[in-house]
Amino acid sequence: MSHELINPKRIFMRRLKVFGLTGLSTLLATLKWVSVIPTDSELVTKFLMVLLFVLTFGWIALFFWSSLFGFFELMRKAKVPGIRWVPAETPLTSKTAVLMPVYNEQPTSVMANLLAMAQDLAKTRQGKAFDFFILSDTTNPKFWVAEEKMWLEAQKLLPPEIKLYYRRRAKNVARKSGNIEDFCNRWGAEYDYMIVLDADSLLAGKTMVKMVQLMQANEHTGIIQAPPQCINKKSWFARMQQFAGKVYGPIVSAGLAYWQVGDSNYWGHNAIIRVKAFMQCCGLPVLKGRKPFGGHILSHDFVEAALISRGGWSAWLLPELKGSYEECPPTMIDFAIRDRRWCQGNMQHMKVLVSKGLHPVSRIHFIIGIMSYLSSPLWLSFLLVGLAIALGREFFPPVYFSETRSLFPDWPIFDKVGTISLFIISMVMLVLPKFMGLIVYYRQEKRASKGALKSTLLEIVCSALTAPIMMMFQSKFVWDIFAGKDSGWNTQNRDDAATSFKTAFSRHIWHTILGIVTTLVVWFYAHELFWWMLPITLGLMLSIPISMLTSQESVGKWFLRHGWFVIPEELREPKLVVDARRFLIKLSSQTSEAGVLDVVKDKKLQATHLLMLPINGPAPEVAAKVLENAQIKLDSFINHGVVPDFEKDEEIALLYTPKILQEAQLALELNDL
Amino acid sequence: MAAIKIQSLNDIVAAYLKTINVSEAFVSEWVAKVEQEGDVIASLDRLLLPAAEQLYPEKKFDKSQKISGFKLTWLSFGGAELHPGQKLEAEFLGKLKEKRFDPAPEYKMQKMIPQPLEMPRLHWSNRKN
Repeated sequence: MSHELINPKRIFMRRLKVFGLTGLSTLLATLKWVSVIPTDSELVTKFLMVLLFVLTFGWIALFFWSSLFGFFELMRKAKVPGIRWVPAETPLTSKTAVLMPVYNEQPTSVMANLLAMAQDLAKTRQGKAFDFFILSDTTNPKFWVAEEKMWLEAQKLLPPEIKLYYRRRAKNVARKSGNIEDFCNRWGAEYDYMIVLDADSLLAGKTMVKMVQLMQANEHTGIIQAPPQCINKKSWFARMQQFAGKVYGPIVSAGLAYWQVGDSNYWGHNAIIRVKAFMQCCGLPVLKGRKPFGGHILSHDFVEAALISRGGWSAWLLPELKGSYEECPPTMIDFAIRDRRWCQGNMQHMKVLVSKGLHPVSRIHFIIGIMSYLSSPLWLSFLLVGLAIALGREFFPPVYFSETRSLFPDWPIFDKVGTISLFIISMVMLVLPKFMGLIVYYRQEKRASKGALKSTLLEIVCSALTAPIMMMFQSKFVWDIFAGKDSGWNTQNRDDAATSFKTAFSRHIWHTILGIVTTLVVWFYAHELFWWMLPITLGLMLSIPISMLTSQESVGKWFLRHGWFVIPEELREPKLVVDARRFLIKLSSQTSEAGVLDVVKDKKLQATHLLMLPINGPAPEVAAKVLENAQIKLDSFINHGVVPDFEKDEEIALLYTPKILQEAQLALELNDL
Repeated sequence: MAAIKIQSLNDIVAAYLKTINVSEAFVSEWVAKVEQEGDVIASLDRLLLPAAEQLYPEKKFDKSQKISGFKLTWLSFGGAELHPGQKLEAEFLGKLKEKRFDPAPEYKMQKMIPQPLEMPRLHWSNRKN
């Protein structure tokens, strides 16, 4: 029912091509690999080497073939088949909620983005069909108050036809998925579709309208994902990611869309969802067992896509949808922190992977997600086993003449040419898609493509240097998760703050030591491997300066001035981005982080806070002593002007007690009489 | 609350009126209406309730929300300056209603049901459970 516009045989053939070629190339390479393993290796070692090779090479092969088909699709300017496209002027006959779930994010930038999107939407003259919601899970009381303040300020700046609502949950059960579910439970029945955003998301008005039009025209569609483009960041690390996303991203997305067709995935934001389908199919269970594998599902997006697909609805990744933006982590360490959370979410999918009734493509999504992280320890194991074999030969030289008498020595055979050819094939499969992406980029972005070749070459070098660092990070994450350590829930750093030496040292010192030790061991005991290992060991040895240097905004700007890693959005910023910045400047003058004191001093803000309080649900239970202490501090402020040093729970307790807030405000007025 | 040092009713009413930007000239009128026993602030709030009910007639709002919503709309659109009189006229209330703040739409409760995901045990620590 989901692909009525495309012949199922055609979908099957697409999948057969991608996975058939992946399997075939992996098989051929493995046969070659079996022949190049030194003949004197132990059987267990051989088996381990083959197993690790199959897994790691298969992973590269899938990426390569998927990208290759994506490349062909883009070269022939093919649209994703199976979805009914509609004219731009199609009127909207439905109601859509635009959801911005937030968790201790900077309220000004969240609101600036929302205002820019609302304004852009109003320009389409279809703004009436949309309501905006800020769904706050914020636990920091100062941010909570600031969010309410920003909501109030935004009311003056919003286009009149668009409504902006706000609600905050007292308990953030099940994190983002629980936040969205709470919205659905309360207001879902009111809306046909919901567009889910992230705190740093920006979606053009036309894109949002197009997404709704597509939903209206394709009644069996449950999810449409607009691939987001990374923009706005200035550090070298972030600018490289932005460039990579711009140049290589399209063929990756087109490749995924090629074989996924109507069984695509959901990436958690910058997507539109049919509320009815979501509510029917996507109630997430709490997984049995302890964290990190049990408990609430962390990476809910993949699971929701799988459940919606199980319910008979289709999900589309549409690279044709432009005007979808997000921001990437500014530094390698921020990237790794985000990866820790994602890694746990994906490892948790091991439990979901084998659930009954899931579509095979949904299972492949889970496997891809799991392998994105598991590939790191696999690569590491592969390297370690290889190194161990080399060292073994050094310490236990081959026995040329066995105890049984023989005329001929037992020469251990090591096919050096075969090994090098496999290495070259692997490198080509990793690097070629980047050049294919570059060809498409040159074709599509003629004005902005100056400097793209040199940037691609440098990006490849930098990726090679950072890859072993990320491999070590991710291997540790996987180890920690299997050892039962939970990642917790931290807000992602979105500021362009450079990594200090102290931070870099604490995060990378073991990478550096490992790099140095490996280099020394290889130099003294397996010298023939020295140059082969250098790309890996060099990255590790230099991890501290690499991490610090790539985090620098000044370096990123230097590269920008000299035409490196430039994306079109940097040369001519989208109007949406300019508007978001304008709103940010405007709102920044109104912002305050005085928390409860703002609510006491600012009459409008207090009225806003008290108006919203019942919507947020019942107050959490607070110990009487906490409220008592908070009151003493507040009294001291009112009577003696002593600035209170509230604890977080004290401030929250006050914010949930309207009577105290009102009396405090009155007391301040009385002081002025 | 200990912070309220000056306990004269006139002062409290004057301070209350200041929180909604209403002139002190109306203090005596308000003092005459306020219940002098019990919670004075609640009593003063109750005086706003009829106007607040007109501004927010929907059942989804409780009384405290209606009063807060009224105060917010009143403060934001300069109610005290535009309408300095004591009794609110219907015409002015109508204007305020057009500009009133709505923090959330009415609930349409419909619970999402957790979907079954049957899974094997994986993590070694789970085996102990």
